[in-house]
Amino acid sequence: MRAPERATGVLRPGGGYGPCDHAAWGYASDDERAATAAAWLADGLRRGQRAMYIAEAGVDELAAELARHAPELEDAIAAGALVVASTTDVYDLGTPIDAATQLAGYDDAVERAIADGFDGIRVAADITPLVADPGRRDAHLRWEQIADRYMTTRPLAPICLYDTRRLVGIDAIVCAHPLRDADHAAFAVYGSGRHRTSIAGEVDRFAADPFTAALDAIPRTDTSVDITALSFLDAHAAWLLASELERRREGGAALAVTGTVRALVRRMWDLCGLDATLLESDAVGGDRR
Amino acid sequence: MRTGAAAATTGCFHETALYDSDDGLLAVAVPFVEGGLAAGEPTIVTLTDGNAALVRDALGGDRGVTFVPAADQYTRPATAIRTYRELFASLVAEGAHQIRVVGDVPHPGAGGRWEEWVRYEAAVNVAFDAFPVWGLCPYDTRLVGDDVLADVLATHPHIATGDGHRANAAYADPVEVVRRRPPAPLPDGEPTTSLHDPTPADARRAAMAAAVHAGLDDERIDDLLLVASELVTNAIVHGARPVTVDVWARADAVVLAVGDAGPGPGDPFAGLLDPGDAIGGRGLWMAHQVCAEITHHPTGNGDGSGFTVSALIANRT
Repeated sequence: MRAPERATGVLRPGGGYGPCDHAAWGYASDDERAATAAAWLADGLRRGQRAMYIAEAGVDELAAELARHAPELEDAIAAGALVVASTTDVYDLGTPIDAATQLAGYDDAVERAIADGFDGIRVAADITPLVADPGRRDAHLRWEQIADRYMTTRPLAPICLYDTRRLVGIDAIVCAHPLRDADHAAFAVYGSGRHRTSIAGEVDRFAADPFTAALDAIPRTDTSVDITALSFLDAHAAWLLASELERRREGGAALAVTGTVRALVRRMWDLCGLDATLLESDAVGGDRR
Repeated sequence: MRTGAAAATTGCFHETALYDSDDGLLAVAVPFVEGGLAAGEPTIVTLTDGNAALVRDALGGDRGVTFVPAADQYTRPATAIRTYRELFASLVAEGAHQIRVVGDVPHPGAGGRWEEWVRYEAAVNVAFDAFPVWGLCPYDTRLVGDDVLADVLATHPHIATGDGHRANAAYADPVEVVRRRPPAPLPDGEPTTSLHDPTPADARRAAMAAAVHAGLDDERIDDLLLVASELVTNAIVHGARPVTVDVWARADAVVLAVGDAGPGPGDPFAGLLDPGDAIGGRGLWMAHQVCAEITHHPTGNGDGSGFTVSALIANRT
């Protein structure tokens, strides 16, 4: 299929989104989690997507909390259009997430949904139990990036919900989503093609840690990075980006910079004395899709 | 081997010449250039257009001299230091034993604020000392007042006259020259916006609003965002809270002042010299690369605490 435009920026809960959108949302109460999931799933069902709710509770409890916020979801469950599952039914919490296995599972589900006449799958998943253990976060960040590339061409539209009362230090994971909550509005590193990353927003020294982790998690299968929407970076962030581009070039898996490089980015590059050839899109053959 | 007055020396040979007529300028500048050409030394003339024309006429053409317009070379002190150092390094790598430069450093009456350029004149004694440079800085006594003249004498260890060269007894330690400058006044009037302990992102947003209000060009807006972000980051990381940001929007210009409660950088030349791999100082250096008018103000009450940097970003006229 031809990839549809994906929405980026701050998520409006309840807003209408497309079949390939990917969001992250931090909730501060169980009720907020259920309300956000219900709105996301109801939107998908209206657009002809099959829906799936995955969270840490029994399925009856999860079904009930959705119905409290959107009574029509009860009918969708009865009709088989909305599937409710406990986290442990879908994810193995015993080992770090395995991206290939997980992706194969989702791809199967997408293909089955299409065969059943749906326009792909809409998912609301509480990732809190998946990333509560800091030891699982690196693998999860890589999984998010790989899944996000898949979504650029296949109709899978998940919202990843996380409990802000329990989790700190998962900024890099949230910033791997093209749609994010307002606390993570500043920047994002996500997929804009099967083998292309986009970097959007403003990055400065105070985002250095999540930015470094996000850059490091860009799939090795990516061939280009579009920085058209990178509106600001400070000297520190410019140095981090240049270092990552250099490391990949030396490792034989260069990321070609594509799109428009803003004047401010070039100026920062010059002032920092960074290698200008890293910004040349023709330096290596990139994904031009 | 080095030739001329700097022959037996190493490092930077920084010399001034005071003149009060075209002939007075030529009496010093022409032998300086001719000597460089005769010795095969790279010779660079960075004078204002009028003075460069006088020298070119006296030489009877360019004759292998590199003429660089002063307006291009002396845009900002920190940039002038960086580009000169890059040029000197490449000339030395090509085998130069001495490099001669005669330049019109901006000053009141000749296109520049002295507050910034006196720091430059002091700093080059340190910044260029890694190179066999003979720098000649002529000053027209018809244009400069006694206070500027005193600073010129304090920052040049050597003096050239039509009769020869001599050591300058009025030369002072460049670190002390900069340390004892009277504090420059902060901008006048109520700021358009004031921020208390902002993030760099907050400061960029306030700067952006002021830039739109002031009608800044796109390129200058980029400069302003860059300076606001780097100065606030510098204050947070290397200074002490509270960090304050004041922004004044004027016609075609924005003035930005970033203060913190710390003592300020220990190095009096902070911002002028590339900090290299040193911890800290890069933000100040970046701001100095972008701003022509940028001033450091100690703001404490004699207890050594409190430091503010003010920067002007204006449309080019």
